[in-house]
Amino acid sequence: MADPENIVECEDLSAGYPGRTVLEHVSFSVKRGEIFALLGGSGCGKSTIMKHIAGLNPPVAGRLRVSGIEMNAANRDRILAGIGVMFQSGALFGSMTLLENVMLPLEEFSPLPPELRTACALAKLELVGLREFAGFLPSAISGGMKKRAAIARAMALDPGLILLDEPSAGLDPVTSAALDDLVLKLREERGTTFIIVTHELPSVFKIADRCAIFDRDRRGMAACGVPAELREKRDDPFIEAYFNRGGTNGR
Amino acid sequence: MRNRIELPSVFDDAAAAKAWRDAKRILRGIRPGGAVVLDVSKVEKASDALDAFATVFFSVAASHGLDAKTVDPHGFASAAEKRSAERGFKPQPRRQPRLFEPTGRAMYNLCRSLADACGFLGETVSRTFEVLRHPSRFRFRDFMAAFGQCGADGLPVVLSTGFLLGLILAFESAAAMKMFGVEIYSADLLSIALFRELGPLVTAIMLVGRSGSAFAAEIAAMKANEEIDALVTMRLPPVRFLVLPRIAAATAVMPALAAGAELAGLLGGAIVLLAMDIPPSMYWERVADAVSPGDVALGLAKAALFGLLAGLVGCWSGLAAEKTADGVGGAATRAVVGGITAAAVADGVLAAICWLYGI
Ligand SMILES: Nc1ncnc2c1ncn2[C@@H]1O[C@H](COP(=O)(O)OP(=O)(O)OP(=O)(O)O)[C@@H](O)[C@H]1O
Ligand SMILES: [Mg+2]
Repeated sequence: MADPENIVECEDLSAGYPGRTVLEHVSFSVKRGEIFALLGGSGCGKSTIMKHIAGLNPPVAGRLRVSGIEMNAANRDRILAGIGVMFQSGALFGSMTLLENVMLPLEEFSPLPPELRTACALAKLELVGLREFAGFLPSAISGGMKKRAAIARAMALDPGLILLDEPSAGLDPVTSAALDDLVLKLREERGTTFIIVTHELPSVFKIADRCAIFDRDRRGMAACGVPAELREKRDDPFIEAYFNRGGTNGR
Repeated sequence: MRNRIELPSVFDDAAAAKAWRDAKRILRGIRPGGAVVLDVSKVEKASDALDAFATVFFSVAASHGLDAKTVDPHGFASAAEKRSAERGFKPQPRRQPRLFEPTGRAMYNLCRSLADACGFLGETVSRTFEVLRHPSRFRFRDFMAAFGQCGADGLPVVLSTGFLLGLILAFESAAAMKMFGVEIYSADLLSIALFRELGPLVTAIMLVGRSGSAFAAEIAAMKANEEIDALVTMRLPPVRFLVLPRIAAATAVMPALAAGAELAGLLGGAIVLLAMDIPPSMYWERVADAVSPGDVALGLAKAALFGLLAGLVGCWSGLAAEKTADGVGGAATRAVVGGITAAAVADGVLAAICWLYGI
């Protein structure tokens, strides 16, 4: 059932770590050009799913196909060539400046000559509003700025699929809205697919085409669909509580 | 009734402390299968300690195989009772001292880490060949940084230890030889010992302590911060990226550091013998006579080998570390212990080989 339209396909996936299964029977797929949100309570396994898609941990069971290729050790680098990942912690290299961080993937994989690489990296930093901080070390910038720099690094090679783990955590509403706009713009201009872990419901309703919600108590996926439709669902108390915990959240 | 634990009306933390002492005594006095009652009916005011008390009471009672009940009209202990009911009252069998399980587990863990270490070695070798074929893939800048770090960090300690080592060796040997009036021969002893054995070994110990541990800590901290994962998703193999430059730097810097330590040691010896009225010219002549170029080369080659081992062990400790802040400290410790052990073992093996082949 490898559908060429799907960039990510999970089939009955069990997510977790060696000796510890976190989620079971997860099935969903993400279409090319889609903005897909992974939702759920803290500790339910969103980052874990993300790490499986990024090829960092092999799935505990089930199948995972990315770009139509089965994710395993042999195929991993081929798949990763088209993926940019931003980790929940940012994971910038502490000994390198922001510019060097963004340059790193370019240095290793871009055919561009060095002068153009620098300009290219600076342009990425500009996109996230950090051009003036290009020469700063990660230790000298704020938490939200680290997140943004990490997004710039994830975009460095213009991958077709970008994974963002809580990009807007620690950002003010204005910057966070600017980030949403950036995601929409990249999708518009380049057809980039985004898979975004987030706790920001307003942002989900604004940018996400579809989302999957995970429930820690049932150790699995509670629902997958269009956010606005899921919000109106009344047959699942967990989903209802998730979308309406604050009364008018996201409306 | 004897098997009854009664709580006072004001149950604050101090009351809890006292009540728990009594409760322990009572619980211990009941045989498995007996019954015990926690009487909360008198309690009017309670702190969180009551919930904690009740929770522990139920779990201890369960583990002793007792039937625990409460008298609890106000429901102070009901949350704890519910919690323990959910967990079930299965009296846990007393833990038998086990022999096979821990042994098996330890063996399994040992084999696993051995297998992981072999995987690491294998990847390091294959990445080395990759870099030899495509020199542009070598992270030269990281190599220079690591080289500078090892050299700059190491040089002062290495020079001063080398100097002191020479001083002590010369003094001890000359003191003994003076009885026979041949203290000049301590120059022979000192220089051979320094160049063939002690120079490289002592330098290796210093390098392991300063740089091997730093490698491990740096890499472990990167691991805790998901930087290693980030490298992997960027298709930058951590071994080529982090390990090769550091190993190469440690290997390259060690001969230079060892040579420094050896010369400093000779200088120390010269001072001691000068104090014993042996003129420096005579001393240096003996040294030049005693040490062959082969000895020097052997010492430097050994030094490079020890550097390689220190780098390998340091980087491996870092990569194998736990993904936590605690892991960083553990990795540094393991790098030092492992690095020194590796150098000592390698030195022993080399000594045996040299002896066999008369080098
Ligand atoms: N390296 C690991 N080894 C074992 N278990 C882990 C590991 N990392 C996370 N877990 C477990 O996996 C579960 C899910 O963690 P995960 O990081 O995926 O949560 P999350 O949904 O991203 O939460 P948050 O929104 O707080 O980031 C947690 O219960 C956690 O204990
Ligand atoms: Mg997470």
